[in-house]
Amino acid sequence: MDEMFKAVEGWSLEDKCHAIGRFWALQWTALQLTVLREKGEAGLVDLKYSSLRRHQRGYFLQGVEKLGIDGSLSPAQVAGRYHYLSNMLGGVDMEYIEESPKKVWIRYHAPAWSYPQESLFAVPASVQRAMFAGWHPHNGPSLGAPRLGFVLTKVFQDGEPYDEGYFEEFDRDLHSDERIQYRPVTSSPDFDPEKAPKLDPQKWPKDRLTRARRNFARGYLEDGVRTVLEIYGTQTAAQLLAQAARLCAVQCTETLGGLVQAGGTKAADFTRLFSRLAFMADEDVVVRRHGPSGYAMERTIALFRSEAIPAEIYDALFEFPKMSAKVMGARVKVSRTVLPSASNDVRERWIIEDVPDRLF
Amino acid sequence: MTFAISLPDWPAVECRDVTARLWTRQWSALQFIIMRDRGEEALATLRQAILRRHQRAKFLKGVDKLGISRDLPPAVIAGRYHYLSNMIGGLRMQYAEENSKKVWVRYLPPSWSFPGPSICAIPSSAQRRMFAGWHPQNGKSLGCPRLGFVVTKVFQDGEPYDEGYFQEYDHDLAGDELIQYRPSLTSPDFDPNAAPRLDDAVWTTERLALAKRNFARGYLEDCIDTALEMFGVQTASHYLAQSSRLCAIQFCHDMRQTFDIKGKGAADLAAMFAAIDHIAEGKFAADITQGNTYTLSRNLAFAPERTWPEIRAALFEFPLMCAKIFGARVKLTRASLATGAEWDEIWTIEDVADRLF
Repeated sequence: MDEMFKAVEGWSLEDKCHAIGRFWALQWTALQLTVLREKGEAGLVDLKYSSLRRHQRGYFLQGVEKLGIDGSLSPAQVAGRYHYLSNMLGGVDMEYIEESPKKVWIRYHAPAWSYPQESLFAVPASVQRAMFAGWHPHNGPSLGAPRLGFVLTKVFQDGEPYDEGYFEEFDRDLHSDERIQYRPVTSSPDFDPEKAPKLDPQKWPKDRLTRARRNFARGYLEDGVRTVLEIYGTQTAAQLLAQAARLCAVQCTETLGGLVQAGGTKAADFTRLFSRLAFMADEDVVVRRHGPSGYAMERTIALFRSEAIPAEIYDALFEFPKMSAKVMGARVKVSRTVLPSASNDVRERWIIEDVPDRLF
Repeated sequence: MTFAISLPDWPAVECRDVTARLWTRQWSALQFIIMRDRGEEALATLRQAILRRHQRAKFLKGVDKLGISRDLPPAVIAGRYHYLSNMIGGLRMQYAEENSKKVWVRYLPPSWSFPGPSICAIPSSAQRRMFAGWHPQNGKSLGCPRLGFVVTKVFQDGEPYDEGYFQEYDHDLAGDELIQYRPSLTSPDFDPNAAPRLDDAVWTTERLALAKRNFARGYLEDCIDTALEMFGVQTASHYLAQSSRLCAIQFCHDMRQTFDIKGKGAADLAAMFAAIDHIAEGKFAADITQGNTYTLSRNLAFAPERTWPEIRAALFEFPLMCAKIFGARVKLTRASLATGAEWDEIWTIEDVADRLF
């Protein structure tokens, strides 16, 4: 039954990573907006701050090395280069300007990565500020540079054309509440692409760039879910994720179908869509016939492999395909069982069938 | 001197489609900003009021325009109206007559007002109150006090579509019975062959495209008017300005691609907005006055004559933000002309030497 994803087997790594990265990024957006809806502005501020803080801890210093940033540069340069290069890897259109070795600007251009299209309009400016607060002021302590701070000069939601700010090394150690400041500027410097830092093409061939972009999306979704778990506990976190997954599926099933060339109203169409997504994520997917009109699909979930996560979270993630089945047709029935596994990996079996009567 | 711009030579249907998309985005943006800055209750109130306003102005007239016989039972008339009018607006709809007194309608995803994952931010109250603004009023309009509407599903409750049915009861309904919210375990199939159809001779492709565009404009205009009533001109224009800016931030890039704008200078910005006016079938003239200064004289394709100066200024925030996104040296200014002048406004677009911000 591998014919289900035969049509996409020849896809380039770039196309595969693009499709699955899009799927993961959409779910991260949906989770954030659901937290905003259910827990209010303060809830999303908390999530955004904490997930970025988690990211800063997990990725910053390691990333500086991976990106080949010279450790002998000034702290403002190291920090500025890190954000410029790492976000470009994730697909964000960035700018970088060294006003001096002690003052380095970065710009994050529209459209917003976390909040595509209309979704940005729902998000208050406090959330964008909290995102910066979760990361940028912590770079100084990580680099052993207590004089390094970040001044945020623009955010989209205040009605500015981009997110912008600068790292500055002051002449004295900063108090913790001085490490991030919000201060509009009347003018800021030009970007010169010729002078911008570049990745070493030897160390960063195209395939590595492609994988990094996919992993960027996965990293944010995973850290987002883990942070929601920490803030709300397993039951509420799972409810929030389930609701996000359902609504995301209502809106995006057709788009995803277009992305992996699978659409329709039957069990076979559903199986084609989700086995292809699993294939894009390298999930060791197998599809077999099940009964006269059904399919059994097995996959090893590509998310949360580094550290086990409560089973309720996987149940919540399954609300996405469950809703996709409803959107595709009222007679497509899907169910899921978790298979025994010796490792942290979660292997699951989905049964997908066409049934004669409407299910709802 | 008129400067040469290559305006899109698209068929009328495509022009109207792209214009509808632009106006729909502005309609979505304004709703989101009101929710963001005023909260859930404000959005719910706004939507109920907009839909109420729309019902008053469009329902009975629309029944006739759509060729729905007034001799049909009230539930059938109301069901057919929503099925056909929303399909014209670009929504995907389903219709099922369970019997002549009980008629189902479904609004399939994706949501028209809240595209993509953005819908996740919208509480279900906004959807319920939208129905409350329109559907329970149809009975009264049709002179049938026994007609009510039952909402059975809304997206935001985690359902695959918005769904409900018009039902004609055996007794007159009290005001609070005209709309009810009641989940149903199962609902009937849609049979496209049994669904109502528009008369092809009356509803040509071109007319459909025009109606789709006007559907988007109608909601945007009614949203602005309702915001004016709810918040007063100063606050309403602030929300509209903010939503215009954010709309440009998110969609300027997409519009550059749509209109195949390669450069980032004043001439390119002038060309993009001339193209936007052109496809909206607005009246405009593009001129070059000096080496690097362009003027765009235009009448407002969208904002009606009654619109306040503050509202016009707020709408201008959209091109202003596009200018910032094009580059820090593209200067755009606007002169608003007196009523009765040949043009509503004249824009001046120039490349300047120093960064503007």
